[in-house]
Amino acid sequence: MKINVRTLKTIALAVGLAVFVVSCASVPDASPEQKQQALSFSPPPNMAGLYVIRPYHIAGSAVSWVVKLDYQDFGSLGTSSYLYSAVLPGKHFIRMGVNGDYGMETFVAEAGKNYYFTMKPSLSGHIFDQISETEGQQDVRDFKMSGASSYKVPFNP
Amino acid sequence: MPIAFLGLCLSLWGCAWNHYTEGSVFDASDVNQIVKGKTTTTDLMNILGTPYSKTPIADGGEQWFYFCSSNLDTAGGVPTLMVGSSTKQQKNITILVNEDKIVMDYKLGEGPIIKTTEEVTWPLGIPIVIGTQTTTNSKPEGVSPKN
Repeated sequence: MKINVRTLKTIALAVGLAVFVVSCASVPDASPEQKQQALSFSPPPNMAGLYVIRPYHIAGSAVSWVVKLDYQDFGSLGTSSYLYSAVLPGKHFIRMGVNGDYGMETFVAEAGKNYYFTMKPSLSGHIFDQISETEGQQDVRDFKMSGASSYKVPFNP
Repeated sequence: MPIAFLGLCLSLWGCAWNHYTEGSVFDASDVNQIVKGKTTTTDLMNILGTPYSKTPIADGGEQWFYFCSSNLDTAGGVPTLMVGSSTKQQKNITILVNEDKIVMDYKLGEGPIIKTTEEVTWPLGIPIVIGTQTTTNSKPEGVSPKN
């Protein structure tokens, strides 16, 4: 069988296109200490715990999603990954997008409690869904913890 | 022919808009819950959320600062003419709390409305961009609310 240069170019283009189409966004792994803290499901004293989970969905899977909390970046998520941090009790605003322009959710955190939100692509701007502790803990155990986070609790409670 | 072109333009007409906020979202009903000499910092965290900044002041007190930026982006047009605009307004609230973590005073501020418009046309196949920015003053920053 004879394969000419043109055929090779076509095959290379098709393979490249297929890789581009099926590729998923990936984020670095969190440190073992961060994972241990997240998997303990026990927020520090006088704090609450916030988990933002991105389950797998084909739509938008090639792109990392930026999550913002209040005035700060909370982190970036690839598919099947989650972010965790202890947060201060009180009202919080979670947003998606570099400018927080793809949807917002508000919740009031109580000290000692954990809050689990999943994200899904939506044209209506309703990106976040609060889920139960049982579902949330299952996702956290199954998914990867994203290390792409620079969030810092602004002050001690 | 002109009618067909007009029909084509209308069929390709489209527009999109996006309204979003940055920072702590608060309105009059939230601010009305703040009572001088009574509201605590714990109450503030539940009403307005985490402040953008906390600055120590004299006598062991603190100044808490919150802001909310409201943005509206729109874009639309037909072939050969596209118009996009962005309107942004910021409001803020500065709160003084004493060493016992009780609100002593607060001030509301509202920034100007800034509108940026951009028009793109292709009269001869070459894109021409015309941009304008207008600023409308609403209230000067730091106006004390009525008590």
